[in-house]
Amino acid sequence: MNLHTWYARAEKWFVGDKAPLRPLYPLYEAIEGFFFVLPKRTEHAPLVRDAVDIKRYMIAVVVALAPVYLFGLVAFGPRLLLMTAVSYAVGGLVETLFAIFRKEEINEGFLVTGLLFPMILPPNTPLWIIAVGIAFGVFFGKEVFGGTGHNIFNPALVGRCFVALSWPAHLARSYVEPLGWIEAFRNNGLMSFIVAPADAVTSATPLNIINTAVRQGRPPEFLSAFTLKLYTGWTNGSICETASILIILTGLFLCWTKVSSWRTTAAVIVGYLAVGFVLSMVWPMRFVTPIIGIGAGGILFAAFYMATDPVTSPVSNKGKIIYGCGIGALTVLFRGLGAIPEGVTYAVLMMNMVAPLLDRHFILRSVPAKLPRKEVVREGNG
Amino acid sequence: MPIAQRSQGIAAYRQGVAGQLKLSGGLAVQFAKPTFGAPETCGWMRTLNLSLRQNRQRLTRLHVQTGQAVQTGTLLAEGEQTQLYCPCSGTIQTVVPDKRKAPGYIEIAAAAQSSDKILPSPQWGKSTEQNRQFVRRMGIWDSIQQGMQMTPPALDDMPSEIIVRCVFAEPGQIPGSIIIRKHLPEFIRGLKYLYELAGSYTPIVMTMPTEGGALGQAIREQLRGQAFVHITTVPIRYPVENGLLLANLLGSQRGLGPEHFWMTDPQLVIALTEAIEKGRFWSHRYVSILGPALQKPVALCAPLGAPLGELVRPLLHNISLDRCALLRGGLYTGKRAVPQEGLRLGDAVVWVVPETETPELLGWLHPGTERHSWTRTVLSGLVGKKVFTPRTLLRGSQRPCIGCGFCREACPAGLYPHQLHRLITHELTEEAEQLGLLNCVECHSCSYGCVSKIELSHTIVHARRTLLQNEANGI
Repeated sequence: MNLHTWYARAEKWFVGDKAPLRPLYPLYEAIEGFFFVLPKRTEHAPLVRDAVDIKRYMIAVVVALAPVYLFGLVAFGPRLLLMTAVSYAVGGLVETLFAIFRKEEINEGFLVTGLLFPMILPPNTPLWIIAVGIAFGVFFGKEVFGGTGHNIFNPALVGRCFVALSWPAHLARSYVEPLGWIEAFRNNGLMSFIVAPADAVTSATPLNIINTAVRQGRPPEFLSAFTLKLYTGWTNGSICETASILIILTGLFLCWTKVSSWRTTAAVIVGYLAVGFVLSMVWPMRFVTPIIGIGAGGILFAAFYMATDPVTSPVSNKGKIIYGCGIGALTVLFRGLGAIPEGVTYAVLMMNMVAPLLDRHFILRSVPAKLPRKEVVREGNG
Repeated sequence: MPIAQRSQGIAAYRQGVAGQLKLSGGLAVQFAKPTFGAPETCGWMRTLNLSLRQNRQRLTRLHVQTGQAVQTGTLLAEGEQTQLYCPCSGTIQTVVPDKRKAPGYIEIAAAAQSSDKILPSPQWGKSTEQNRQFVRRMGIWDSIQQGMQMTPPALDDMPSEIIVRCVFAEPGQIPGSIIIRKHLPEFIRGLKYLYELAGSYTPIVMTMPTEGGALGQAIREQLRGQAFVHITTVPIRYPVENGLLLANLLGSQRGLGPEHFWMTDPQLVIALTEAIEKGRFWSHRYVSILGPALQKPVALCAPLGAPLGELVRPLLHNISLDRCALLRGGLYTGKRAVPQEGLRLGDAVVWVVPETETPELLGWLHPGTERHSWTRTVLSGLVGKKVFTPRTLLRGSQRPCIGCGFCREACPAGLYPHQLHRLITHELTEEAEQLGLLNCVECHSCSYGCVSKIELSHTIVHARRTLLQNEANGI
């Protein structure tokens, strides 16, 4: 039996002026779009189209993220699944409500936002904070601007920024050591996944350790066991930002598929390394050498997955380079001079604001002089 | 002096047009090249269907009526710059005048099988004006494209260069070399006639894919001592045969605008020889018919106005014509055609694509081994297998622009199609013009690669043509 024919029987409830469930059409469309690829024909030239579409584009990001996600799952426990479920459910609800309200289709971009958000939070973040954070991120980061494609800020980072500013203490005590979840599970059973146990051992993040060490004038030695841990990911931090090597590999894969822009990523890393190197030479009491700094915190994750968000980053190549360098440089400054150890969220959000300006400037500049017009040609022809 | 061979190829030209257009981007779509045999000449059809829209123009002034007997070379209809002559002798069956929304056509019951010698003796060489009149009567003039306009030039037009396009990156088009190889002596003589047709000293530039090659050598050998022909190499990359792109690419070396080029192709050059030497009306065009619905690609020499359905039907493989789409005039730039429609002046390729797909369950999970994408998000891209099976599917849902920049990457003119589209939909045409709207070469690459399936090129091309029209009307 043709499953689509069966599903399409419900169409009469959603389509048409007198359909009783007409406002819920975006939901109908989204479910249909999720399960079936309809053989919709092209109407205008070119009559043949490339196989890439927005679903595949977004799925490519999810596929690339899978290894990092699995690492997070092993290191910080199955609680990540629950966090993701909450993020998708609450964020999806906001997205759906808005789609119904605006009478537009539900956008696939949420597939990525909903997945990225729990991945950049501490492992023991209370579930209600995740719910509030993603709702805030989707609402104020995206929907108020008019939905995907019109937003200025990366919605996942808006949510992250909101929860970091609203409940700093909650987040600070949510950082746990990798594999600490096994101990907690033994002691508290399944409940340990839902509510973080009171006796959970929280510890300082690597960036805290680095910051303290640098300001006391004893920078951690390069290539010490600590630095190696930063690269392999066996350290604490936000769930999926720790596995530096995995992030680099999967991120390079994403660049190779052409879904994310290598220019932006390279610019973030170069910007971070260059500015970090200079400042750590000039002011070693504040700035750590970037070789260590780049492995800690979210800079790599941001470079490969956050800065490359197509909607909030510039389109022009030169714009991408300046945008990326700006993120790298601002991160160094925020980390070295700021009151809190991590600054990459704010760096990306600030550069998001600049992206439209950069685009405007470089797009206008890229345009060649006007082609000779008829009157010019007539003169030339004599 | 041997032929001035511009060995630096386009590099030298590029300097001449720095800052105007570059041949970057474009669709790097590769697919199995069809192998064509020598083109077969197709016999006459019982009826011919001549469209009253040729060369992007509407032929509104009709010169014949139903029931009238016509001869080869009778003027049937004319538009502003295009005239349509009868390619055979027969009787007019139907005349449907062209309306803005419904294209018109003239149907002819073809009687005569021969199109030879319509004018008593070749009228050639007396004066440039007479030469041009003669060439127009022979049905050749209206296939010459004038650089930027891509319409036939006026009879008193003086070009600065004539470009003979022998390189076609359009998928499935018969390579110029096949046509030239079949009629090499005629081609060489045709170049001389073309030179005379232009009147004053006008260099002829031939585009070739490579410097060497047996055919290239043979052409050079034959052209020895004729300094008016230049051979230049261009990359075989879509859309290199695009008149607008090529005109800008080859550039305005003498400081003249790129509008002063004439564009022709090898078959026109050969037709010129046939017309001048044998008085033969140019009634047959080379057209390739190919696509997934056919067993093998076919190169034909078919009469103008031959109904496409008649041409395609004998070639179909296990599928009926009503389940196929006919794409006339190229894969990317072409339009859908109904089987009754006849072959037009500009048709070089007809794709026959089956339309038999049904809804696909969980299509986004499909690895995409048999799909083609210029991103590497489908498996065929991951494993490096280049497959390209054209389908008339949109392949996704339309969504708002996410600014991925694929359209910018694809644009051979270096524009930002997504930005142009945004401005045009907000009716900010002046801003769009500032962003280079007029530089669009109408190759449709941007829409092809769009992730959000936005009809970028449709909007942009429409806005561009409206702007040019308004300018021509002095608005």
